[in-house]
Amino acid sequence: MASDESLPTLKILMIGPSGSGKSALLIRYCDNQFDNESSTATIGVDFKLKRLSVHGQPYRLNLLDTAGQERFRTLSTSYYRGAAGIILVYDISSRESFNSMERWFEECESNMMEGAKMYLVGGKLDKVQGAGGEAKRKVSEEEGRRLAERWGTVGFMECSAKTGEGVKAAFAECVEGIVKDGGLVAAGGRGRGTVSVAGAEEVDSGCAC
Amino acid sequence: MASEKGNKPKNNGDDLSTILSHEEQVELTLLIANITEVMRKQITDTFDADSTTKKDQEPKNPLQEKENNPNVDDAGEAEGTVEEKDARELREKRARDLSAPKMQDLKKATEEYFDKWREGIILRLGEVVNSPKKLEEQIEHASIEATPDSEKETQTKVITSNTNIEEADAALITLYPPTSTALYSLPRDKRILLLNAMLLLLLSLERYSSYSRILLLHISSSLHLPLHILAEQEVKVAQGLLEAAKQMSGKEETEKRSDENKNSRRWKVGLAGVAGAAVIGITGGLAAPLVAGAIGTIMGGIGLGATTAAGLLGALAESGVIVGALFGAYGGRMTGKMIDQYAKEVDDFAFLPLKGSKNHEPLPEDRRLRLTIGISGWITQTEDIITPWRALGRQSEVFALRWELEALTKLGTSMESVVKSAAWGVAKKEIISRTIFASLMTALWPIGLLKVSKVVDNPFSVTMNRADKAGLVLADALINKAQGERPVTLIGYSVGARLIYSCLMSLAERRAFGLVENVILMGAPCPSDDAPWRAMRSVVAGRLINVYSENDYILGFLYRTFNIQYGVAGLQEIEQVKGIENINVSDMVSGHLRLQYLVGSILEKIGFEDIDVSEVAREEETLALMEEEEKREENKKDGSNITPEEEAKEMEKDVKHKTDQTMMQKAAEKLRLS
Repeated sequence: MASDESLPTLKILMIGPSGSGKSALLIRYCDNQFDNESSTATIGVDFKLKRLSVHGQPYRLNLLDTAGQERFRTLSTSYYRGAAGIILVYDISSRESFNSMERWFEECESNMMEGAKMYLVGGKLDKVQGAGGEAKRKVSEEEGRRLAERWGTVGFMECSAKTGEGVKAAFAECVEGIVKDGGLVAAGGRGRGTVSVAGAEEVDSGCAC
Repeated sequence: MASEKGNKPKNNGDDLSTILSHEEQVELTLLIANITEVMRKQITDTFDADSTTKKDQEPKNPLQEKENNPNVDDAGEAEGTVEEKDARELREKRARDLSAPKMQDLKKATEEYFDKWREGIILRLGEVVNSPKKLEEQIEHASIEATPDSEKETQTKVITSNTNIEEADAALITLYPPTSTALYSLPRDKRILLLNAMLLLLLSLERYSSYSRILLLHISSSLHLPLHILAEQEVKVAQGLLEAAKQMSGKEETEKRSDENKNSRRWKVGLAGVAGAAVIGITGGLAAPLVAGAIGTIMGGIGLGATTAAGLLGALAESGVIVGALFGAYGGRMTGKMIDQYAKEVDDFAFLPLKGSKNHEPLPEDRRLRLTIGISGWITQTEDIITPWRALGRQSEVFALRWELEALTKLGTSMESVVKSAAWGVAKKEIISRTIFASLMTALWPIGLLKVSKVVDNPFSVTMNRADKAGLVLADALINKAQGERPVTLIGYSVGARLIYSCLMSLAERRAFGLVENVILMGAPCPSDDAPWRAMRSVVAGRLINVYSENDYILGFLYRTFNIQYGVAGLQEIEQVKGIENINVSDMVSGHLRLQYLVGSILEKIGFEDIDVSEVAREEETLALMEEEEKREENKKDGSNITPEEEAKEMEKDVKHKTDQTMMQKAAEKLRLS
């Protein structure tokens, strides 16, 4: 346990319109499960831990899965504090969800801490695969890529929580983008309580320089 | 998931997803979010030049209303009255003070702490409402092993005496205005259940922060539940936890087994950081049934299923160690042992439990989720350290702080003799005849009084000095969690209030937030200007109350050698800081010496949540007797004619004699004890 506690910690936030599949993506990534029937909307925010090594350096990921529903928006600003990375998720089979991304990016830019990185994910890739699937695609990969570039994200990936395709790669790429320039990595602490304290201080000094 | 919900065994009590529909869970989340927003606003208000206490209390004052209104342009009122100009100047001064880097730093630190706490709560709540699966698994698991009696308990939802109690306290609602929520329309039983669930959930963060306590008060008020329900549940949960912890430590091998269990993520996420949010993953059905039995037996009556209770409690339900930490088992105990640790700095410093015996730890049934420390300011006999605090009720663990007995005794006896002196009697008449008390501040004290002043001046400055030091020690004890992870309420009068002042300043300096719940300062010999009060406000999550009396001449007299230009909190309102309650007790407190006997009555007036009414009545009786006696003595003195010089000499002798007597008494007691 000690080794886990002392790992550098990254807080990563997942945002995006309601029903874009953020929770499914997270459950696939952390528990490698997918529930076909599940359609309950997230309330407030959900939270998961995951360990990930990038270039031989293990990190502890604090993954925050936020509610996409409008009524929880008042809550959302508080999540950005200390977040090193923000994963924005949209549904490639829904034009509406893609169109709203502009607004999500704006919210993200105005709330995120200096030095935090954004990453764009187009979810539900499985829907457009297989016979006649392409017809269900409402957002082309190119459009997604252009959006990501325009907002200066550290990457873009289309993936599927159902099949698992691209999920790991997306998270890994995002984390790599965060740690590349030493960004907002919070050092691990020893005891409880002190973890977050030490973390925040680290983040602050990171900002200053 | 929907199908799973249908399969759920019904006989296992309720978890959040069964007592609350999805929609209601959403409401709950939003309620918590809104309340924490309100709380945050209160914190920022403390550091806002536009918010003052005065505005709150006198909304009818047109001047203040203008300040209240953001649409009114201050600059447009250039030709306002003198009063307006003064107000503007004051406002500018506040703005200047507030922009000082030190204040800004404190504000930032306070907000940072609060945000972290809030994040912990919201994440924890999110985890509970968003993972019904985990709880379900746990329930299934538990249904196999849970002790039968716990099940029985959970089914009989006994909520005691809820028939003839008013729906909500007016006091609670004024102090913590309810946030509107649809949850209010739930049946009463369900609201109580919900409140209890929230208490457990907040405890699962492994500390009962003072902010958490305030959040619960807000929730109670929003759910229109009276305060005593929360208080009763706190008591029950404390008992339940300790009982459970006992069983936990008794079954070490079971714990060992669960350690070996590969599914146990307990040690992996263990006592993890992120404000306890990480703790949750673990509850997935593992040690829960064991503890659930214990907790369920005790807390079943509240109506929450045993396993649900355990699930909400997270790691707290699994580890006696964590429960121990909550009650301060490791942080240094709230008993005599602390002395040794701090002996070098302060001569005499100990926490005396009021309930139970002096010589051993408080019994488990006396343990509470909160604690209150009463700090006496001056004493005439050793018992005075404890007596004033008898008026405090049983909803929190009450301790009296014993500090600097000798200095306090000296101060007490010398103050008493000065007040009883003929010189003071003459001076008092003179003071009252002058209408402006303020002139006293500037050294226009009657000559006769100044002549006897040496009797009391020295003990006072010695005690003040010691109080400042002991305050640092108290701050240190709190930071080191002598109280465990529980919120503390501090109450002190006279120099005891000075001690608290010093303690709070030190806490603010050391950025120790979330430790102190309420603070009540009575007749405090400390500055009344805003900077220190802002700092104090930042470390007090609940109520910060300044009890003052405009008739406390002796305080003004004693304090004259200190920084009188900054005012004296015990004599006046604190006007410039928002969130400070000023209670005027001028009609009750005719002099500094009264304070000790009025603690209960004052607390009653304040609307303190937890007082022992019979003790208050007894206090009042004592006071009445004393007043009679004083009158008699005064009459006697009127006849005698001695010069102030002679009187001073006599008094000095008298003081020495009395102090010696008390100290001898104490020594004798010690001998007898050992």
